[in-house]
Amino acid sequence: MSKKIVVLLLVALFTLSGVLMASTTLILWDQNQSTEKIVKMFNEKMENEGKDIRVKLEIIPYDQMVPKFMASLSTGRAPDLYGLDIVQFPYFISIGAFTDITNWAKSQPYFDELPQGMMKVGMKGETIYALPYQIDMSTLLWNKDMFKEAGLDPEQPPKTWYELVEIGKQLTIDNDGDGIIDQWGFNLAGGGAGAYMFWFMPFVWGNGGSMFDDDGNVTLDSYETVEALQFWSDLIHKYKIAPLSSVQYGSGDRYNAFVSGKLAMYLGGNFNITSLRKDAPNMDFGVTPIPKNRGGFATFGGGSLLGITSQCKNVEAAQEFMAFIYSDEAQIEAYAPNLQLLARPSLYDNKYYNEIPQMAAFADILGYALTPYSTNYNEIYDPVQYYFESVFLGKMNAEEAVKKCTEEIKQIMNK
Amino acid sequence: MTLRQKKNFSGLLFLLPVMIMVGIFFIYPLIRVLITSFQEWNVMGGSKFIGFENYTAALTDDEFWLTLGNTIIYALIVTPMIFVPALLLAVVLKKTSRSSKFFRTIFFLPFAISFVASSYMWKWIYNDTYGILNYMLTSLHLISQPINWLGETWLSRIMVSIMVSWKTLGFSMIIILAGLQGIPNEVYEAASIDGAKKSQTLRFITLPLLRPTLILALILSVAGSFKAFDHFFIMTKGGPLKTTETIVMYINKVAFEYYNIGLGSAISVLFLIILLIVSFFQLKAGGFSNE
Repeated sequence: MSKKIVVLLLVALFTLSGVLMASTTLILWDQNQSTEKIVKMFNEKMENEGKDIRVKLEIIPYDQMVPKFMASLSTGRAPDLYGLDIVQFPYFISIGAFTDITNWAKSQPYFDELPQGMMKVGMKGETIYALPYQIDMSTLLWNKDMFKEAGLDPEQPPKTWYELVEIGKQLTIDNDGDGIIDQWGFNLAGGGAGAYMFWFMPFVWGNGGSMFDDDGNVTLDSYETVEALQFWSDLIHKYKIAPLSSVQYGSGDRYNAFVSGKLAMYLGGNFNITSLRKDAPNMDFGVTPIPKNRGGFATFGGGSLLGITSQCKNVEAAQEFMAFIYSDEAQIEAYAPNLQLLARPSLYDNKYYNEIPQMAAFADILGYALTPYSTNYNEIYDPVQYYFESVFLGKMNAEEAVKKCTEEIKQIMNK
Repeated sequence: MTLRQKKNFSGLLFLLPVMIMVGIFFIYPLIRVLITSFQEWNVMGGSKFIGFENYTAALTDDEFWLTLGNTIIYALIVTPMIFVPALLLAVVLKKTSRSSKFFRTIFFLPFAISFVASSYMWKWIYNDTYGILNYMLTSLHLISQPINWLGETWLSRIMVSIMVSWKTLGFSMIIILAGLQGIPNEVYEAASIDGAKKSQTLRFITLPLLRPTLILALILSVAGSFKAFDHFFIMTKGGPLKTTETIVMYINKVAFEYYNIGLGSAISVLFLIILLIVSFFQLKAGGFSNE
């Protein structure tokens, strides 16, 4: 008896939810709360224009982005649009989880200004599956007050490795003479391969090295990589401007050290600015590219791409929504107030960014953005973490580590 | 329908909601994992059966054995760290009085915090640049340089275990307390008439009568520590150099970072079998096999 009722209830529930999700209700998955505003703006616009398209936003926490997507794809209940972590795209494109939007994308007026390095990650050959959506870039942040206290020019952050060491030494201070360092000049960005990719790879690039060439061959085994690894290790063991423990620090640990005035130069990114202004309102800090050595400035172009999934019920409607997301109005009114980095550089001159001096640096930094491309991206995390960490902990020589790491990455790529 | 049948039927009816829940959230996923473990699983459909390939891949993988070893070492460290204080606290707080109620609440409170939150909390406490533990120890001149508590393999295992013990011993304590209160007072009275000392009552009455409860608490706590994930994921990320990577972290990595759901499922099944064996021996050691 009660079983029947339960079954009836379940059936009623499913039919009801089917009605609510009519073919013109698009589901958008995103990790960004401020997208809510765009969805609201879009739904209002559709209502005013009398169109039968609505978008429903579901916020997906970063850690759940892949498991949830896999589960939904396998049951045929994937969202219509997905703003997914950029590094996951090559794999999901390779298994056919996204829809070809090449022709539509190329017809968009803003197409040419989207960052090319990130765009490549959303492509397979010449076919476009996703567009740069929200941008996160790795940068160096520095505490200007500490520079002043140490007698340094607060407007001259380090631009080269050499300057990083020289300035770092003056900022690594034992205040009370008890032999315990009270303020560190620098922290390594440790705590995992994700951090190494995001903050350490710019040092390799800035030394003229790379992980892959344009054809996807592994090029990590080079003198440039060895030198960069050795340099990071030296920051701890030789120059002593970063604590050994920072090899294990997650970005939260570094952030806390920076906020609490125990760290002068901090490997962070654009995403720190809003929270720093809130957590340390009196701190005067600047944003600058990660110091370079023999190569040019470089930054990891992270963040997310936006694509239409292959299980989308109405691609045309999804494209209409995408076009709205990239419109001046949506970008500036929804993302710029939260100091989100926009995918369209031409909009960087807006009233919200202009109020914040730190935002000025990003129009330039965006030009240096690089993103490694690999369908096995997550698997290369393993050797990267193990061998890089071995070097930073002083347990393996840099040359040997790079050799072994490269070998393992090659094995993964050839699988 | 006889009365007996009627009674059985209404009994089953009462069980139905639980059975549905267990069926949907435990039995069904378990069967799916079993099936998937024999497949080369494809997200977009079209998975195919590949026999025992996933199992041989798992058993020949160094990282499987490494993470299994890490997990066992951790379970061996953390179990006594939870269990001994929980038992002592339960004995001390057995009598119902205002102060014992207060302390029971205090010790149980951390259990109500999520592992994620307490992991972050203790990561702050342990930090060597701004953590309060190093600050206190250096201020008291007990150590001359701040210690990187989560930076060394053994030290980080112990420091994480301290956090886990702080967080979960309240739960074990409550279970043991319930068992203690189930021991009839007459037995103690008889013992005191026979002139038994306090230590003797503990050794010959409390512990033997408490055995079923102790075994239950032990199995729950050992199974819990085998399943360790959040705290290592947050506090050490498996480092330094994978020495604190647990088997559940490895399953998570294989399934959701390497997208190899088939292999992940196979490791999960192997892990389940290992847990069953461990629990079986615990039951046997507790004398349950004879009853």
